[in-house]
Amino acid sequence: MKKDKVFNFFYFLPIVVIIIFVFVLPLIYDLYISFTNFGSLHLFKYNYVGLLNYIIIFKYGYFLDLLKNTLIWTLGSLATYMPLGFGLALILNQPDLKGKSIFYAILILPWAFPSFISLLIWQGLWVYPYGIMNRLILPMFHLPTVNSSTSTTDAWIELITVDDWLSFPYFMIVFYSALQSIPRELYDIADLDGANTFTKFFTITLPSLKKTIAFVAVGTFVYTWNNFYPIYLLTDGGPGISTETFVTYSYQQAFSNSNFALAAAWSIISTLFVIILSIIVIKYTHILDSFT
Amino acid sequence: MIQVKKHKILKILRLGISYAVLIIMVIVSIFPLYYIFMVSFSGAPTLVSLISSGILPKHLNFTAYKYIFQANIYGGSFLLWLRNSLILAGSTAILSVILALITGYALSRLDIPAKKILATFIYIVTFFPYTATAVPIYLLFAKFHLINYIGLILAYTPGTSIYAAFIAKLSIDSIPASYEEIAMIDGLSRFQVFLRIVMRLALPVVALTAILGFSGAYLDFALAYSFLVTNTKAWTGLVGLYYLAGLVNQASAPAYDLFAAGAVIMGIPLTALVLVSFRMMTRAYSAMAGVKQ
Repeated sequence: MKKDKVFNFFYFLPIVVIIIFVFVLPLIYDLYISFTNFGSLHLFKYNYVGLLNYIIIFKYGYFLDLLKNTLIWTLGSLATYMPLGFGLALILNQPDLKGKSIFYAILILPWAFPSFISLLIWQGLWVYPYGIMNRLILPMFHLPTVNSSTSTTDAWIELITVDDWLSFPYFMIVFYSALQSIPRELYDIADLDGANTFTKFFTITLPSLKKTIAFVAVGTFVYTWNNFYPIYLLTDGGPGISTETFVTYSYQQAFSNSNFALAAAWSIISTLFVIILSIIVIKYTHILDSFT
Repeated sequence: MIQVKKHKILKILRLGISYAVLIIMVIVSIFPLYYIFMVSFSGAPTLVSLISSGILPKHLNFTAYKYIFQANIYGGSFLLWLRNSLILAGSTAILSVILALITGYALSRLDIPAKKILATFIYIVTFFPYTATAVPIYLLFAKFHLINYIGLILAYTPGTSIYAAFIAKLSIDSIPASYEEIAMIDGLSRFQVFLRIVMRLALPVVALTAILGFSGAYLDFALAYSFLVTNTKAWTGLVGLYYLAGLVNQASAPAYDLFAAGAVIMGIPLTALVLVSFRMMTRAYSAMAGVKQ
């Protein structure tokens, strides 16, 4: 039996090997680079410089600004698209609603359409002042125009609305599937007891979905924290560095400034943050219990 | 009587608000896609020249499509790049499915030492953002002569596979183990059981993984660009479109109708694929609802 157990490990071997190659080794390599002065000035002969890059980051490197931006980006997105998706799922889950499948099929379009291309489309829509949003749509509803190259607030509005557009269907799909797995009888019994809609929501719906919500929220938190294309394509971290997050800033240090060592240090800091936060959440909510 | 009437008014109100919200969201969802579709036929070379009537054109202008299919950049053409994308994305999808199912099966069924630690490790390792590690991956892969399609496929696969493996685990949990036991008594090996029973019953997860893996590779820009930029014949559709439409440098006005046409050509087939397999994918996601409460 013991031999069997060891043999079973071979099922994990492929994924473990590929993970080591694609995640673990680059991570170690990145850690090593962050202690050197590897960059365009020292491309082939670089030296060990100790904690210099980290000292630069914490002393002169906008650490707190970028932390604030990363939190605005992550929590701002999470706090809008999850409720939006959840609300739509609740609306669609009403048994007496007609045309459900048509609405459903259309509402998943933003998720079904390739996101990278959608981002480029939105980038063109928001260009100030020629983009259709600023030229046509916003004036149509008598709303002020949005200029993400001069106003930080405008830049965040643009980023988060686009991210909401891209992601709300995913949450709608997941929560809708989850809602349908709640047995109808629970609601029938509550009806007999004369419970109103709100009571039913807080005593049946929400408790039944607690674990799904927690699992989705943790995964999405990490995904959004690391999500780089929306910011890179829409505002490019601007105006100035006011919408720059850890990940986009690190990317820019590497590819625009060719300062690979500083970029590595930034990405190590960012990763430490997510991993520590996630371990706390995983321990606290036990979301991984069903997976192991 | 009043009670019944009040109930009825509330019901109408509830449904009315529901339909209003749904209709607004439908318009919001469709608008950018409708817009890009129309722009691709507008013949407007830049964003500035796109007039409002461009999104309600009177006649269709095919210039952009013609240009895209005829363009030749140092031996590379859009059709060649699309073919490259399909090869890359298809291989990633197949590899992702195999890895996700093997791992999901092991997580669900097998007794393995330190399984919990292993699963947590696999889960947490994906938290590392690969756009930020593009440099170390590039340098590491260069040492192993992997700055090519094989390297790209290797880099694309694990993210999707791990996410899908956890969903696969939940789906396989819901397949009664007795099916496999009976098959094994009938003389099938564990591997045959895996192929014939688990693969077939976990089909929704297979579809979901394949599509996620496919679109991940099909839509990657950062890594594909750094791996392939020097060889125009090896470009992917997205890298090629970026170049054709002049999107690399935002300061120069991009050729907007070309971008729109490329977006339609690259976007519509994938969207259709997702919609066609959607029923299956929802079934895979509903496994997530089966998380132990």
